[in-house]
Amino acid sequence: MASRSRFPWHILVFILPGFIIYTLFSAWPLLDTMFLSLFKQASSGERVFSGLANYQELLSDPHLSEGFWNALWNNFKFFLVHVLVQNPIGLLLAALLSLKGLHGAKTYRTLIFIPTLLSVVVIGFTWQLILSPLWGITPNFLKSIGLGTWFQPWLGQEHTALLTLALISVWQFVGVPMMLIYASLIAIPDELIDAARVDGASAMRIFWQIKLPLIVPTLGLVTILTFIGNFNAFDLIYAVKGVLAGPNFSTDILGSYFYRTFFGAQSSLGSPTMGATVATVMFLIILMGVMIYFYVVQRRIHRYQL
Amino acid sequence: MASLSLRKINKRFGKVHVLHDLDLEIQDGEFVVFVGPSGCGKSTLLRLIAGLETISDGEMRIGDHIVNDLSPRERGIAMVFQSYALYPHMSVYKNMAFGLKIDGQNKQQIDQKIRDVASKLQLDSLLDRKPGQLSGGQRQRVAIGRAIVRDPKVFLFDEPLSNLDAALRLKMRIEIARLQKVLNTTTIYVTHDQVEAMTLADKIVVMNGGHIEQVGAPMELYNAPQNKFVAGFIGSPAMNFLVAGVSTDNNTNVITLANGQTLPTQQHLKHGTQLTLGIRPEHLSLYGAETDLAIEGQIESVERMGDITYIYFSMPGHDLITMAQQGDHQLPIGQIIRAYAKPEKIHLFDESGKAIKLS
Ligand SMILES: Nc1ncnc2c1ncn2[C@@H]1O[C@H](COP(=O)(O)OP(=O)(O)O)[C@@H](O)[C@H]1O
Ligand SMILES: [Mg+2]
Repeated sequence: MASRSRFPWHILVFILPGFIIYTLFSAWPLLDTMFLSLFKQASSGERVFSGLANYQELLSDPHLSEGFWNALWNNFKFFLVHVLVQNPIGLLLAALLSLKGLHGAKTYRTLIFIPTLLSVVVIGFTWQLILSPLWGITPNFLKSIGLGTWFQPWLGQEHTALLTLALISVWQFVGVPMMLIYASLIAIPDELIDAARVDGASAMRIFWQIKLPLIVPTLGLVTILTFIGNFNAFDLIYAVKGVLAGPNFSTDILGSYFYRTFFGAQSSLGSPTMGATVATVMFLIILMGVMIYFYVVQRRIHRYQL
Repeated sequence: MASLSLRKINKRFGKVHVLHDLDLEIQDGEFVVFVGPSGCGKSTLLRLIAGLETISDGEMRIGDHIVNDLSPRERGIAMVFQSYALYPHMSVYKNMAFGLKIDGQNKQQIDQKIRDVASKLQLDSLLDRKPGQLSGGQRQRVAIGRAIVRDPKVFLFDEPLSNLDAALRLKMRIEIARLQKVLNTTTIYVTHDQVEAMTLADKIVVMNGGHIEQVGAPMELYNAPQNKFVAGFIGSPAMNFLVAGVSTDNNTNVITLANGQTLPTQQHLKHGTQLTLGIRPEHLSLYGAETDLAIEGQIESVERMGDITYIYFSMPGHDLITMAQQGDHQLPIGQIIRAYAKPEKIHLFDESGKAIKLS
């Protein structure tokens, strides 16, 4: 068959670099982690195949599972604070920034976004100093405005530490949802808003009945990005509270729990295989969240041509 | 229904002065068209009338009320936008109901009005659709329906047909004209297309560079443009302009063309004055009398439409001269052609562009 075309080698050449990089740095480590979670490490250092035993142990052995469920629950609370505080504030700021004729809008935008660019370690350290009962400025500041009795060592109390850390994270990252929402708000054509004004709609009504329905896809996207970010979070907890995520594991989230399981902390030894199990479970939780979003939520969201 | 009056209206955006001392009276029920080149301030003026922009200076009345500080809704206007500006997430029905709900009308009333207007505009079958599921022409009709259902005192249209194809534009133009006659609501319509202006308007307002050049009925503007800008803007194809001067012949002033031809005039024009002579393409003819103005040039191009033929010929020192002849004329390119014009069809403009009467 003389007319049969040659194998399209050039296509392979174009695909190969991306394929190699993705395989080497994403797919392979992921698969290897999952594979590793199916083994147990004997004290001799030898690895033996153990099927799903690690998973069973993680979810039901009191020694491990207590910490796991605690971290998972904390992580949900951490995420909830972001959804209920960070994203509404981001939306509010974006709505204000997109107002016509606001002076200094660019400056505000930049200032609010700057903390996002700083290292989490710097942010954690700074806030630790600010909130410190010993040398922080907060106790004196509150006293000077007559609210001295309100002060508490928020980062040191079991019932406030996680919330405080979540709010620090909100403070740092509120610029991200703000930017995304702002971009979709200014994409709404001016004539549409003019039409609503001619129809007699107040600024409030225009926001709730015209703008908000049109940016729902962006709000969904922001929520799922927040979810992924929060369930992968680790650095802020580690920077402020160290590996033990104290007091009494009250700030422990999946990231810090994974770290302790894998590398060990103080007296307890780390276990690479159990660490791989935690990492896989984290991956599955995030995967499930993202799938629910794509298959259930996003299908009901309409993206309107503007 | 209401009249509208503008007194010394000015608009500035920061340091940019966009509209200059505009005066305008619009009668109740009149169809007024603002026409002018792109960027001359038509939309800005319409938005001032709508209440979407604040008036920098001057006074605006709708009916007997000064409306400078009133919101669009309080002014009782409805507007149709160039992009239609339908709410993309609402059905056609909800688009039309939006303003009525804000007015606080009850459901039944609203439903009655919408069904009424929908049947007038053949929108009945589209009421449940979203704007994204409509064609351009249908969206246009919905936008008009949304304006009509408000039963406003004044309709405002900003280039409503410019996103439609030629055939649909013609159809909608006729539709808008018909609706306005039926509803008899004061209407202001912005366009850069002088054909739309001529066909729709009771009264045309020609604008240029933030000034009103002339206000008048279409035929007034066509027959007696007050200046060179209006003369060149109204009429299609555009008026031809010829260089002319004034000289003295036997103690009487005559107008002299570049080719030496002279025209008598009773005006007291100063010797040496530079003039522009205007003649519309449709007033040039291949045949003429001894007393007619006659010009000569070389044919550059001929466009044959069947019913009409456009002949373009060059004269030294001028832009291409256009001549429109009824019927089909087959003329060879490069041939020298002679075109005649009746003296009473000639327009004259002084150096500043102001029209002067020939006789
Ligand atoms: N919001 C604005 N800020 C500054 N200049 C504007 C604004 N709106 C319009 N202009 C200017 O005003 C002039 C008239 O614009 P416009 O009314 O849109 O013209 P038209 O509708 O006749 O094409 C233009 O030069 C335009 O650049
Ligand atoms: Mg315009």
